[in-house]
Amino acid sequence: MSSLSKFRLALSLSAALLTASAASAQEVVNWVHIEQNPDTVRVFEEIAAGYEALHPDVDIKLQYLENEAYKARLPTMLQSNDAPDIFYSWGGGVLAEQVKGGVLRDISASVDDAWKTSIAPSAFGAFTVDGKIYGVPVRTSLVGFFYNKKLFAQAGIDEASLGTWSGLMAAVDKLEAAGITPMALGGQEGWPQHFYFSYLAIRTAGHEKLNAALAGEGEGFRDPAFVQAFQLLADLSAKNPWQEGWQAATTGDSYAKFGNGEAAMLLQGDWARASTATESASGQGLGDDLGWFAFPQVETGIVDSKETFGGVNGWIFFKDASDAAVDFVRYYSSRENLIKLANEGYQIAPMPGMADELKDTWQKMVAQTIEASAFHQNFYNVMFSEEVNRELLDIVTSVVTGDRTAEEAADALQTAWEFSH
Amino acid sequence: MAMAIAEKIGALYTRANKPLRLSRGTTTALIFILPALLLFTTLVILPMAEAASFSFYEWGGYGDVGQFVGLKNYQRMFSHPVFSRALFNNFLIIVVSILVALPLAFLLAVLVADKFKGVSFFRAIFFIPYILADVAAGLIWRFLYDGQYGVVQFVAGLFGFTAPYLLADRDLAMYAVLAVVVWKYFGLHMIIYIAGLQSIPREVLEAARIDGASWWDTLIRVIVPMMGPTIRLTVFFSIIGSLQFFDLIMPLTGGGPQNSTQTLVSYLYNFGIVRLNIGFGSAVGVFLFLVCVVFAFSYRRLLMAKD
Repeated sequence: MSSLSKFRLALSLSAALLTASAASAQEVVNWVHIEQNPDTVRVFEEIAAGYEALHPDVDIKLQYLENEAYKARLPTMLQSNDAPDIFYSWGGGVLAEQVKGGVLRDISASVDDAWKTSIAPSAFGAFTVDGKIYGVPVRTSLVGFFYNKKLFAQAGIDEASLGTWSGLMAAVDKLEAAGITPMALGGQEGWPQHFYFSYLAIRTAGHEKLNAALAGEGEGFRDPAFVQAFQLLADLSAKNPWQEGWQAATTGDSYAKFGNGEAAMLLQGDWARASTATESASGQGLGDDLGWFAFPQVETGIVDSKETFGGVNGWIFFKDASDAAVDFVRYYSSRENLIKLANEGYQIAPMPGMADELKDTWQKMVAQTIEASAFHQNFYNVMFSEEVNRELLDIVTSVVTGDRTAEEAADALQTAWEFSH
Repeated sequence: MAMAIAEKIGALYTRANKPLRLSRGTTTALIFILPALLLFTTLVILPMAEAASFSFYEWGGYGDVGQFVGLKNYQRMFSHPVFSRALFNNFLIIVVSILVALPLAFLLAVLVADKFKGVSFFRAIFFIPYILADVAAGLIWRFLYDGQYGVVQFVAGLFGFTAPYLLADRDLAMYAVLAVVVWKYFGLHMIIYIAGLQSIPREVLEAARIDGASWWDTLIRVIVPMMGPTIRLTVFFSIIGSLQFFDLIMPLTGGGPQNSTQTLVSYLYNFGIVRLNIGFGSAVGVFLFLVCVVFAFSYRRLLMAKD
């Protein structure tokens, strides 16, 4: 090879290297999610691909982490060099801690009125700390009772009686008399039994008393309304309505128990509907026997409570996240994409007029209920720091097992809350 | 005794006072040690020191290290009933390992140490639980213990009674865990014992037989004493392993029900990492580290010095 052709080869090689590095000089946006449903993940991927097609210089990278692993690993990930740009949040106490730790990007400047009103402005409140917006709400859920129509008929329960707490208690008695396990519960993780307490507290104390307690006002959680919620849970637990071995059962076990038709009720979020089928032995679940009723009114609590209970989730941003990351979530939260996510990915967004866009009648009902709600309360446990959250779960469990009285539980919760402040 | 110690200290003193003169060999050695020392310092010593320093702070893990709180984390830890429970559970695991798992392993080792037809089959069978990943073993036992579909319930049914939901009962769950501990780890000790047994000289055993020693006498008066170093080693492994016990607990019970099966490490994980209380978790870590170090050094000094 002559020296000239050597020179030419070197030149073309370096040119090739240059173009290669130019092609890879894309902006990478790392997006960590905890979604297990393959349909939802497919929609995520389609949305990412849609954005990349519009912005060829941006590369959206999805990374999946399991729920509990995600919560435990996130603090370490945010300290490392591969901190994600966009990640999942439940709002509440952990969000406040992340803001305090200075690891989040304040996106207030990017959230204009057009964006705010395209999603429900009140939902942005779940991601607002000290007047600054840190996240975009894209998902909401509703907790209520799934029930087995066949088992209810067998026990002779009139579904109209389930509007009140005393009606529900009577139904538990009837089911037990008929030899049917009234309720399936995944007790190992703690949060499923906390749903009972939280919804009861919504009915006896309401969101104003919760906010007052969280602000350190008045008697806090020692308020009689919270004691009453613990007492009602203790009364229900005294009937021992759960399946045998509930303490070691996972949430998945409880879905299976209910989906197999071995327990008559399941207090869970709307996300559990598909799981009660997939986790059941037949894989079919209850089919047409699957029913749903809203958490009953408590006659001795707030009269005609219009509040509902469920989560609000959204995407939040690492402090060094680029403008492209925020822009991508803006694209993600467009009306068109949120409707696609709801219809194909089973995630209902807190968006005005969502119910009208939904094809599935049951999902429509869920969206309508949330839209008609006077106040949609975020999960109680996530309103606290992670430490008080787990303490609350332990306290609720001890009420269910009868190890703590209602007064002791309320006192323990207030003590735990005070300790962390 | 005092005299001997004084002499020793004296010797150290004179040695220390000698002018520092590195021989060629020492310099070479230092150069060779340097990379390892650097790695050890940056990857082991520094993180440990950092974790120890976190234990004096109240820190949620996000952002900069939080507020200095002195010994508050340690005070909380020692006054926490779940911590005492975890400590007690670790103690239980140690006791059961030494009193049940090790004798069982020794007995089986004696049975399968000699060569006979099918011996490798039995050795493999006994060793399989140890090969199995801890998490897999935990999941398998979770199914076995299931009160509705589990094998335990099936076996109980054969004898005409119903077994309780073992893992759901906080008074029984720890015993269920202990059974798994024995099942999981006796195989390892058995293999170590077999190696020890095979190193006992044939002549000694033959001499015992010629002298008319019974099987039992041979076992107690010849084999066990000659296995001293091996037994001390397995006790050491058992105790250190028990203190670090974690992988099996998480899939099996997660420390529940109601914290009745927490061990020190699962306590550290659940109350330090999961609750985003890194300072507190570090305090537990420091405690665990000190227990392990003190135990390891004193055990090796006192009981394994001659081995």
